[in-house]
Amino acid sequence: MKKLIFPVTFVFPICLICLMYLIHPVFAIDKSRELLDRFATKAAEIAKNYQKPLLGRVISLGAKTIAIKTENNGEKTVYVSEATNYYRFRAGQKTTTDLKSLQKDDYIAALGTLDPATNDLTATQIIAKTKKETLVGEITDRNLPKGLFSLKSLTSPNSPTISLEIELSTPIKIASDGAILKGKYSHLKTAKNLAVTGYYDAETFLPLKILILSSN
Amino acid sequence: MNEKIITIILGLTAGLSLAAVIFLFPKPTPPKSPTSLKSPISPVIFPKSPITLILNSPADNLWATASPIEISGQASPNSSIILISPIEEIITTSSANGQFSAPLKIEDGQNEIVALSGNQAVKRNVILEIKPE
Repeated sequence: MKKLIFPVTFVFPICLICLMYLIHPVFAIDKSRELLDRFATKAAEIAKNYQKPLLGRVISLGAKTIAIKTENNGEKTVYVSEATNYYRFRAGQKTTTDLKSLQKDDYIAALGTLDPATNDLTATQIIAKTKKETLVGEITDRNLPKGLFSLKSLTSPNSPTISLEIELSTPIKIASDGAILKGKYSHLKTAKNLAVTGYYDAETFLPLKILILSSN
Repeated sequence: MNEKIITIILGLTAGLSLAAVIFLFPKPTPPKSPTSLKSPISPVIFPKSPITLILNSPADNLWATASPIEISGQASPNSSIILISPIEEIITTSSANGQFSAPLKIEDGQNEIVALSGNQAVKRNVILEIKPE
């Protein structure tokens, strides 16, 4: 009996304090909050993983669906609801619109949540806008009076030479000595490398702005 | 009797001291990742050939919620990198280890981002969400 007194009195306070730690409301609330925070963070991470944009041209329109052809020629279905917001850009001006105003061949960006089972997207936002691209290439030929240029593409192996009609009013800049400066139409000389931002109207590429990549 | 009282007091003191040590002792921190550990000798990399232009950020088809976005990646050390969006063009320079990072303005909806260094070009699509009014 005498031998047990020391171990009992030694272990008892430890057990008591440990028990207090586990069941005391202050600690319990902290633990619950920590668990809830962890759960919320994990849930937000999972939800974010399924929030995706889809880009493509409209193939067909249904009452609640939009079929699009994506960049890699895949076909995707975008589901819409009353909560979906629609926007259209024309000449840089943004307008709110609706599903009925969308047309076949419209280039859209659909933002929403992807169904991992079907890979289809339920959109919260649809943005119809002209697809802008940047072509990078070297001037191989030019006809200044007509404003015609031939550009040997450095980025699109499928279309090695692009014919461009560049208007005098097209904004031109020049990258020189680590700075972007204002350029001139006369700077567009053969053998110069250009980055031309614009869009395709049918088969014709229409430049919106030009950056000359070398100052020589 | 005195022995019993002394033993109880000793037991309680030892128990409470041990409990205090357990609860007051600093909690062990998770081990630091190897990247955050500082090595006394920094490795020096001498590229044998020009480094391919790599864009670490943004990922292709990124859903952005604000403009500007951070463009970062790797190129040849101390080289110029031109970054182009539909609304802005900037020039940035890579560091001695080839890393670069710069903010670039983008417009609502689809944006094609182009990074150029030497005769290399990397493209990414970024979609900027429209904030409902």
